[in-house]
Amino acid sequence: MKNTKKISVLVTILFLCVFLGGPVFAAKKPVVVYTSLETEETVEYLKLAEKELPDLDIKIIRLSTGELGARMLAERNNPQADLVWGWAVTNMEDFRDRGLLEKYKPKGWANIPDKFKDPNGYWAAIDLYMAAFVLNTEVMAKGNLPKPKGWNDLLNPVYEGKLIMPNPASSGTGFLQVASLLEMLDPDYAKKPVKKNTGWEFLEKLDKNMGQYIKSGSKPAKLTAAGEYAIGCSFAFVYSSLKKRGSPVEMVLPEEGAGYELEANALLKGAKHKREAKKFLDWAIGESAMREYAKFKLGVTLPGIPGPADLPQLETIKLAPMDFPWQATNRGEILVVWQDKFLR
Amino acid sequence: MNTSGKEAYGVSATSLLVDKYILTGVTILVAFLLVFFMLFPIYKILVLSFFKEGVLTSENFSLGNYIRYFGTPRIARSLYNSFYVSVVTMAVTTILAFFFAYALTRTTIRGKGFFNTVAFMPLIAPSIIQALALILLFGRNGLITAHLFKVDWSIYGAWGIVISEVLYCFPHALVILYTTLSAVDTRLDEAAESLGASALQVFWRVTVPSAKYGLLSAGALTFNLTITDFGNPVVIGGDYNVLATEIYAQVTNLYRFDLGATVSVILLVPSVAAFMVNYYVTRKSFALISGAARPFIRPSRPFRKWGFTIYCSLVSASIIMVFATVVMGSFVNVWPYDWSLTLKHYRFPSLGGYSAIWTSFWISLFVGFLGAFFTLIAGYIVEKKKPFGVQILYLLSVMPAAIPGLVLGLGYILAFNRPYFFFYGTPWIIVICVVIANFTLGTLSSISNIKNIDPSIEEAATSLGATSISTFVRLVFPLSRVAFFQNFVYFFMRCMTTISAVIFLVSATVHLAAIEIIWLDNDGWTASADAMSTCVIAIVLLMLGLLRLVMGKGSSHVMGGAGG
Amino acid sequence: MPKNLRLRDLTKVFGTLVAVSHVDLDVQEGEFVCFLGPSGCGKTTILRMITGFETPTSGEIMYDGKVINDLVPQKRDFGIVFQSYALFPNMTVLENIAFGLKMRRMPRDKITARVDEILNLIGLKDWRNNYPAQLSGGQQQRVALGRALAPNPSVLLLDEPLSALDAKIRVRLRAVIKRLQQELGITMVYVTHDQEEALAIADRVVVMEEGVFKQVGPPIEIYKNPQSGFVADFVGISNFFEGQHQDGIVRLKDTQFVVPQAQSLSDDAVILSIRPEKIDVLDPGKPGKDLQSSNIMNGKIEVVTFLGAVVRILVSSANGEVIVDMVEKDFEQRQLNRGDEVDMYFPPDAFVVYPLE
Ligand SMILES: Nc1ncnc2c1ncn2[C@@H]1O[C@H](COP(=O)(O)OP(=O)(O)O)[C@@H](O)[C@H]1O
Ligand SMILES: [Mg+2]
Repeated sequence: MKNTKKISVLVTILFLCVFLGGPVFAAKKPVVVYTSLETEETVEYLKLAEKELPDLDIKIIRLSTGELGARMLAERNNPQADLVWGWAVTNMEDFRDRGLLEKYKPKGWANIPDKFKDPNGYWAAIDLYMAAFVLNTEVMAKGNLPKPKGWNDLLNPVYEGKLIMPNPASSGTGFLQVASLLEMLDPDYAKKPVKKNTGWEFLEKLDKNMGQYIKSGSKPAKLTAAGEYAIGCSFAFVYSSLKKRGSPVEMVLPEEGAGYELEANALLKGAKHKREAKKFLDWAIGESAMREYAKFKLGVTLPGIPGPADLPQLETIKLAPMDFPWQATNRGEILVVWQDKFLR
Repeated sequence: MNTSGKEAYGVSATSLLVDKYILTGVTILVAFLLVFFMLFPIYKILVLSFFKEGVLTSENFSLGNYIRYFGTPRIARSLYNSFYVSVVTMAVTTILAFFFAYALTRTTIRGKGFFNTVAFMPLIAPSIIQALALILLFGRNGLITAHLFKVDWSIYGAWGIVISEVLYCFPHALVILYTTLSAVDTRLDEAAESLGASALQVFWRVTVPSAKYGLLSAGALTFNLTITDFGNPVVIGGDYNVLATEIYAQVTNLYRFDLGATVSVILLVPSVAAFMVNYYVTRKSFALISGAARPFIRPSRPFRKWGFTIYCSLVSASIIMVFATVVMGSFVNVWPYDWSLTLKHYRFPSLGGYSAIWTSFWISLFVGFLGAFFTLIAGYIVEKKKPFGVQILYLLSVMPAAIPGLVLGLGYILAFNRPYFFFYGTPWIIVICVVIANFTLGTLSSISNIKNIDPSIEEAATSLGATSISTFVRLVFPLSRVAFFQNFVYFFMRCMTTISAVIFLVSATVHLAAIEIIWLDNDGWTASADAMSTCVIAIVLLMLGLLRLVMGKGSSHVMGGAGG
Repeated sequence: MPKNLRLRDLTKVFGTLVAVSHVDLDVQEGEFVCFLGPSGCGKTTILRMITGFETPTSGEIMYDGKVINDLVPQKRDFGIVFQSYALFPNMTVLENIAFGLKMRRMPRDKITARVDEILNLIGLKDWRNNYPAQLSGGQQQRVALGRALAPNPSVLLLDEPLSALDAKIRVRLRAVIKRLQQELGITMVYVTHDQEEALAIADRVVVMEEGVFKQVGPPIEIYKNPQSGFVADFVGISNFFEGQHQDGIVRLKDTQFVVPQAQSLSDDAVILSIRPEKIDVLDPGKPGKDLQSSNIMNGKIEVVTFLGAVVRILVSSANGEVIVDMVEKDFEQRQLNRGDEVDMYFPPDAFVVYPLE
């Protein structure tokens, strides 16, 4: 029973700790950033941002493209974030139309080519990232599997169960892969309902070989690197980071044309720290930031900055014709059809 | 004798005046908190699922969402899938736990303390570590599947979910069955045996029927835990879609909050039903518990002893294997190729990283204190004070167990994301959500503790002039401090490990360790997810150890739990 | 002016159960009143109404001329001692006793003085820093007594304070309570189901049955003149005989008794009761001098029980079993054994007569 006093002292101390040790209010001004950039790169960019924007206290959350969108929608009456950084343009356009974005042309707006920014100033893209196949050379060799050149080769039955691709509903990478196929395989894609697109037939055949549809866009590459699958439909930059780490991987860009996506920044309507947000957005399309992006991305939107040395240069790559406005309008429909067809 | 001049000192009139209203005030406050933070979000979900745009008018009423749900085979299958894994898990877990409890209560095997401790280990870890471990062992590139047996088989899907849920639910079912079996008089068995019944007959005719309420209750709880769990299915389910993951997918992938709400309501139905079964059965089973239960057990025959020892060892080994795998996975360079040890996975490739662990820790402390405090008050009011309408308060207090964490979290977004709810987007919303989500067990354990306080102690205090507040502070609280600290640990543990309740609520300002685990795993940083899990486990263990140190032995034994 | 405690037409109903039914009582200041009755007859309920833990369904509780029905327990200034001691297990003896004083915001030095006073009174000075769990049952109950007395209550209410203790300590503590009551001159209301205890300790005994007062009076009066079969049966032990009464003679199955006081009854069917110690066992063949020969009955000793100073024998007779208490010395002299035939004498004035209900 003598413990009671001891305990109350302990409780008091604990509570004091909680209050004293809790968030110490810094002189820095907060800015709340939402991003879908890969965690790995974001960590690097943030190091730079903190150096170059010392008076900002950058609070950031990284969620997948879909999760981030859901969050912004849920919070539309009471926005928690000030800006979104590095988010797929397809979704950007959709959200612009839903009225969640606020016009802001950051400093350096003029330096970004027109095709990489919204004519009305709602968003500005910073980079382009590209669909790519990541192969595990060991698994390929062990299974004596031929090296694919493009999407069509993946239909080969030898790959049955050995492929993995992202779920387009949750992953931006997955979406751009599916969208690029729908656009490339059906010349009339824009004229008919999504359901009638002839590209679905290809995807249905591909489904037979697909081992799993997974939530994140980088995970197919990572699981492939870990030896769980032979080929992961993923994106280019994750390949180079895996390669650096010594995983037995190789990259193939589909010969039919690589789907790609622009990642853009925008100011959110109702931002509580507008001034700080603008400051961040200015920085985010500035040259130093762009140079940092270019260490990871195949291409950045500021002209004259070369991509990473270990990836092919952008000019040499055959790109799929990406129709972002069509994708934005039909994203929901594409996902519903895809889910109904391919999710078990 | 009348030297002390009693006229001069009386009980203060103001404190008595306050006393008159304090009980009503506190009761209303607790009830209000529960209504506001539990029923209001659920109400929002119901409205959103039944009314277009969530606007409550008669012309907006529509069953469209439900028609769409049941009309889309893929989505509708999530209901079947959920039932399938939950029923299988329920059956397997209940049977496994029953024999385990039987071995601990009815045989004289050695090492009971060890088996008991191991069995409760899953409670101290985030529920997904089962899934993480199973993938490392039985994944497509699993140590056992791909490297030991070189089979092209993987655990992703229904089986993965079932196995990880069995491991996760095991301690919860065990608590109930252990209590039931130790409460039933073993002389019943002996009496039957002396009447010439064979061991098998005794088992089927006497032991099992006498534990039937325990079995039902354990089954219902397991069903509820499985059907509401989000962490395991999302990690190991692969393409296998269950209700909880479907809610998440509808909301985050398709931005269909209305369908998410609809699936939530559909998930609420079985989970509330399981809760009711459990609630009803628990009340009944009190009648079966005879005071004459006897701790002494006859020495078991050797083959029986060995059989049960092997059985318990196997079950314990599976649980230890989960923990060992995850901890190992966090330290080896590249599982399962390069076994050299490294700390590199502890440099978390995430934005939260160690600050997430730190945040989790502080938030859990708050949850621990507030949860233990409010459940003690609720238990006290329900058990001792019984004001007008106490039944409502009781119902409100035990109801959270029926509400899946994910549904509660979704409800919070729908209900509280308004500028005037200042707590939204702060750590407080997480504190509140976790406290509410785990309110049931906290209240029940407070009640059972407060039951043991002799009612005349309080009356003695009152007659000596103590107000309700001083009675509570000076007597009820000190006398239930063991329960208080048990509840503290329970809430702390739940907050460190819970995923479903908070996944919608973490934000740019508040990162939590348990959610980081999911994200790390999502991004393919499995080893770092293992490392983060290891950190969480270490912190929970540290807290348990600290409490045991302060409280003396036997107080850190926290059992049971509800909610995913 | 003395401060009396009064119950006026007090009734308590739980649902359909009438726990206490229209009772009236005046307890004088400084009086020791004892409620006696079988378990479940409503004693505790009355006590709880007096303390304020139950609200009367109807009727009034008055203290010092004022109705206190709605007064909260804290304001009633009554001390309570429970059967279960109800000591605060998290506090030492000292803290337990000081509790009521602290609640009254008495200054610290006065509390110390008062606690010392109480500790002396209950004789537990050396135990002040012990926790209740370290004390024996008897000591715990003394602490409970001291704790209740510390704030100097105007009335002390005790609900079966001794029933949890063993016989020896019970008797000793009984004396302590009685002494305290007399020294302090405090009003005490004491509840018990033990008739011996009630008779030994109280100034006035209230015998209860099923929520009503059967008889109220001094112990001697209750014992000697039970006004009903229930009281006679409950208070002490009695032998009962059913019979037909006519002109001072009561006919039983097999014999008849002369009972002059039966004439005061108008009924024919009566019950006779007689205490075991009033019955004489006659020396064989030597009927006493001035005995009513009709009041002698013959029987056979069936059971012999030694109760210390008395020996209780159970005699079977043609009119049923009769319990007789003999002084141990007499019993020894006579050398009676099980199976012996004896003659018993029933003195006429020892009978109490009731109508057959
Ligand atoms: N709170 C209550 N609710 C319902 N019935 C009660 C309550 N308290 C007492 N009773 C009933 O009233 C009767 C008298 O009880 P009580 O006063 O405790 O008897 P006693 O103290 O003489 O043994 C009993 O039948 C008891 O069951
Ligand atoms: Mg009683």
